[in-house]
Amino acid sequence: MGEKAGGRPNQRELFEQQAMPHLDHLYTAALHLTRNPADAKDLLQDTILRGYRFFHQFTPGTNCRAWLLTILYNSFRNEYRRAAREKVSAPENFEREIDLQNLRSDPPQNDPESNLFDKLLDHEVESALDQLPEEFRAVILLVDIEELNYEEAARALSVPVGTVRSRLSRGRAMMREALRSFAIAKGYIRS
Amino acid sequence: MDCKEYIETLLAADADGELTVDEAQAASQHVVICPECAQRLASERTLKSFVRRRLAIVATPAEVRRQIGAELDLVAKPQRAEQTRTLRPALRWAPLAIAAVLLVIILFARSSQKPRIPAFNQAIDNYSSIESKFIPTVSAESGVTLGPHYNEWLSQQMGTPLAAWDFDKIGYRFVGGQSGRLPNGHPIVYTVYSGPKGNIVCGYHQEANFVVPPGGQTIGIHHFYRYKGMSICLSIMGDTLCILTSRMPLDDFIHAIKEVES
Repeated sequence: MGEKAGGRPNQRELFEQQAMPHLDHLYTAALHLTRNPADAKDLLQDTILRGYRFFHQFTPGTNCRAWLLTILYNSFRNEYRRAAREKVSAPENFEREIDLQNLRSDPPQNDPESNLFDKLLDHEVESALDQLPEEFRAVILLVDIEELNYEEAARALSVPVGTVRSRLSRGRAMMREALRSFAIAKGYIRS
Repeated sequence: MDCKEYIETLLAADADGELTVDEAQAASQHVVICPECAQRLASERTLKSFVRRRLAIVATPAEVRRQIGAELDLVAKPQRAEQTRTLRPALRWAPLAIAAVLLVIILFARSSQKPRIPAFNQAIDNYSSIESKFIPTVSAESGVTLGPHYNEWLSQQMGTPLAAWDFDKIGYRFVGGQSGRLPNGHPIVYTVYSGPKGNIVCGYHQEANFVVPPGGQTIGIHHFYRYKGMSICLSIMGDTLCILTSRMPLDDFIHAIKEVES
């Protein structure tokens, strides 16, 4: 069916109009997931070709970027994650590794944290995100950077919306801790 | 509501504006009396906007963009590319080419004696593409199981009440469902099951005035066919067609369906 749709005369034109404007968003997601420009390039190419092949399954009027990001994350999960030897921890391990209460037990500071974090360089902020375990990195990437809503992010990750919520909650706490560690290491803030 | 509950269940979604009406009410009642959680909410929003601001969208390198454009060109024009590639070898190996043409004619003559059934071709094409890559819209992995929830989704996609097959009895587990549109804009939904002898793919789509193709075995409301090396079970409910596709031998497949329905 994909091939049949691929042969339709206006398929390429439609794809150019609706899918290709999201190329930079897809490339950004591929970079953060693979953490490697060469793999990001391959993942992007696979996503575009797969998206083109299955473009007849895209429902016009829905969020094309979210649809393409679903294809991208599926490809990443099935092929690239294995190549990167990245393991996904079981949920019970997360509970052991991250005590949410501890991460958030500090009374919030009066100074907005972003003023302190603003001193961090771009590559340091990038490293803070890239250090997070993949589940948390992916959900922050989809919601905070790619601007998907929870339902779209849940579809892209093939998890229930409740999981998006809990991963986001933990992920942001971990991101804050990672940024704080960088800021302390650089002497921007005191421990 | 206490701080622990707010932080663990509502804070992130509150910052994202993703709370339900009831949750939003409970959250605002808590935040209004808890300055620490009010600060936490502000801090969560600040972090979100910080991440968005500092981790900007990266431009795709021009070379990567160019390569992707070239690959799309190739995929969009597969037939023309194929002709260009095969022209010269065909001239060089003229005798072999003539033999090949004769073989094609013989095969065509044989195959043309068999009926061509577009709905089955489509089912088999999709079975193959699902086998190499399945991107479910809803999946067992995401917690969806066979039952009222899946049936409701399936019926909603197809615009008619339907209940999905359950092959648990014969050792085939539900993998997921994928919805899409046919080139004519009509909905199509695939349900994929995985078991000891590969996959069973169930496709629902609508086709008015569909005539049952000749050459099948009719058992109850099902029509069984061996088609292009695959076993097919066709059931027609009004304008809705259900086509099950499997790699099982036809007799085994008929036996399996009987067992499921017994």
